[in-house]
Amino acid sequence: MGLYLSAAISGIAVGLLYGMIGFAIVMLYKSTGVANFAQGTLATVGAFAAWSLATSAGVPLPAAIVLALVASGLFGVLVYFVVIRPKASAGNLNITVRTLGLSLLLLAIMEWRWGEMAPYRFPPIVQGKGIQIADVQLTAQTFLTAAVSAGIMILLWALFRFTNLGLSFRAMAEQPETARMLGLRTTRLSAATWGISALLGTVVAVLLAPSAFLAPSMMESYLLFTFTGIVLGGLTSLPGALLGSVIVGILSNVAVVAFSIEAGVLVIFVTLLVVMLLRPQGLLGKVESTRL
Amino acid sequence: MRSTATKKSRFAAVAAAAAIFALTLAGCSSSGGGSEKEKAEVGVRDNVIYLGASNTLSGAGAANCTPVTTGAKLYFEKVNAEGGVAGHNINIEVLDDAYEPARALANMRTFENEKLAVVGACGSATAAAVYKTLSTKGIPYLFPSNGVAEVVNPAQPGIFQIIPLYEDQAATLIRYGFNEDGPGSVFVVANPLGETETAIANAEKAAKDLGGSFTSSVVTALGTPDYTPVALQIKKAAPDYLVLSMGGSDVAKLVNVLIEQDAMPTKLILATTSGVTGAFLSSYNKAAADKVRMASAIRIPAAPDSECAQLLADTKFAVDPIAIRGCATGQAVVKAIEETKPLTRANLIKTIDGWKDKDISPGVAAPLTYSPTDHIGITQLFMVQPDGTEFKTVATCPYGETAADQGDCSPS
Repeated sequence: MGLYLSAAISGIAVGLLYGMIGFAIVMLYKSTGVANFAQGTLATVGAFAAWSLATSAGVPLPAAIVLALVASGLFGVLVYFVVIRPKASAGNLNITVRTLGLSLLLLAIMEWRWGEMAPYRFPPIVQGKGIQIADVQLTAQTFLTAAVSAGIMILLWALFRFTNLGLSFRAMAEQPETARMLGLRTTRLSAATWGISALLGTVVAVLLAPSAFLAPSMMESYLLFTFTGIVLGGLTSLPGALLGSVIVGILSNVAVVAFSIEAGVLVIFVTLLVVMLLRPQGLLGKVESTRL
Repeated sequence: MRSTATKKSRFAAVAAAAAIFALTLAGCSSSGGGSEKEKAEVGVRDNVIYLGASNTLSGAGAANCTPVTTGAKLYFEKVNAEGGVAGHNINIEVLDDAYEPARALANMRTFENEKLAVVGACGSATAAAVYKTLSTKGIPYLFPSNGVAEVVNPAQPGIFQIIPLYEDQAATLIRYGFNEDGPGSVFVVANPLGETETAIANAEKAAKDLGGSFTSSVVTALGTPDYTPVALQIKKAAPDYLVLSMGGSDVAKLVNVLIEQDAMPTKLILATTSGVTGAFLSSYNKAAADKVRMASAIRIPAAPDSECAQLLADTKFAVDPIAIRGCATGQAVVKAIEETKPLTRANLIKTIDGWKDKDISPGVAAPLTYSPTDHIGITQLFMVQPDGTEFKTVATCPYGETAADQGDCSPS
């Protein structure tokens, strides 16, 4: 029993990481209606930026991370203007496919620039043994991840729930034309959303990289579980993204120790299928209705 | 006016001359006759020997594989700068297969009619995809890094390997470990680099035959992002020895998590040659160094006066074990070419088939021995231990697939 409890606890830790990636995706979806398949590669580009500054340019790691976050935010804005905004009337499906193309392009560029000697060791942001619960050691890095995850979730939830800015984002996602006619600066809001989303992705990547090792395809295996988590929790719900991701982390880790690595993946997708059949909007998502 | 008889005889003479000319042309272009010279020229023309390599230059395994062909290329460039081999320069074309079997096979089709031999690739799945095609067509496939048994067992014409199969290294590793620290319980973790079930079964047999016990095993995907669940299983099992058949960065990830989770085995971590990579050295937690031993096909560091050490000294690959192995592969290829006269694919294969204790890379690799029924050349493995950002050789162990060929290791 101790082994399964330990696996579940470590699953919560990895689920928090999935959840943070999910925040960025859900935030973008809530604001723009677009599911961003380039979230992982945008995040990895940001992590490589921080790593390059710290190792090649000799910038202290905390400063390198801050600079990389700023650069990521700006890059996200650039992506919006260059890839997303042109012919926006083509529809969300078209734009979603563009994000897939962007992901492949960024991956190819990273492979060309850094692929040969990947993976790279990314310095840990915090060090320390942490505490032991059951048989699992929760390290200082794990607690940092949990703290950052909680902080981001609260901030974003409060942003969307209590602020005019958040209301503007939601209005823009649901009725972009109406929002524009009512005077909302939808272009600026969209650009800001993309910038924030890219920045959030980089936060996750620099937290992940010390244990996952930095490589162009670092985020790929996480994205699969992340998308599962946010669909499970509800694509329009930030708390749902976190809940779904934590459930995915727990189920996956427990299945791995109980059965095998392959079982970990199987259990996740069976769970997703069941939830989609019984509750299509996800655990915490809202049923979407359209006025005819 | 000429007579009809004269016209007819002229016509017959012209027709006969045309027929002789046509027959001569046919004889020259057939694959039979003027053919020995033509066969020798596949991949050998204009004083250049053309070689091909299909390697994992992108994707998850790139860091573990790219240095192989880089090391070989650097050695060929050195040979060319010194006048070439047998009056020929060596030209090697390296194509990326991204560790995808279909791409590797497509690369072989590119090489088929252009290259003398295919050299030094990296990756079991890709080797398994291409060896039959190469063997059937008589194209030498020289010294790939491969863990799939059917590629070399039974010996396939033209397919020569230096490194033993990962599943056969477990016995040597466990014997070394038990000699060092006494018999104990063994837990195995494997990436699918070859026949994982056979690797696990061999480890279990070796552990029991040598007076120890077998605890359990786990198979994980190459590039698994989070090894915490595996570490928890190992912690619960509390083995004396951990035997790993994994890629270098996966070994590093697992070792790091084992330290984080206080789950290190009580005695040693023993890893196959697949873990001996620069990617491991740059990523592992140095606190684990005392407990990690890995099997290596080459002595590390290479002897300072060895050709490969001197060649790589001023490059970023100076201490990269994969690049050193690639350089040694290049030396083996050049040695084989030098000894083959006339230089044809078939003769190249015969040359290597006849190697007995051939010292292809003094100060780096152990001598190689091949025969028509045994195409794994190595007869001893080096045991290496990480030492900061380098490896150091701590023992030399006789390697054999049967217990009779194995023996105790001697310290270096």
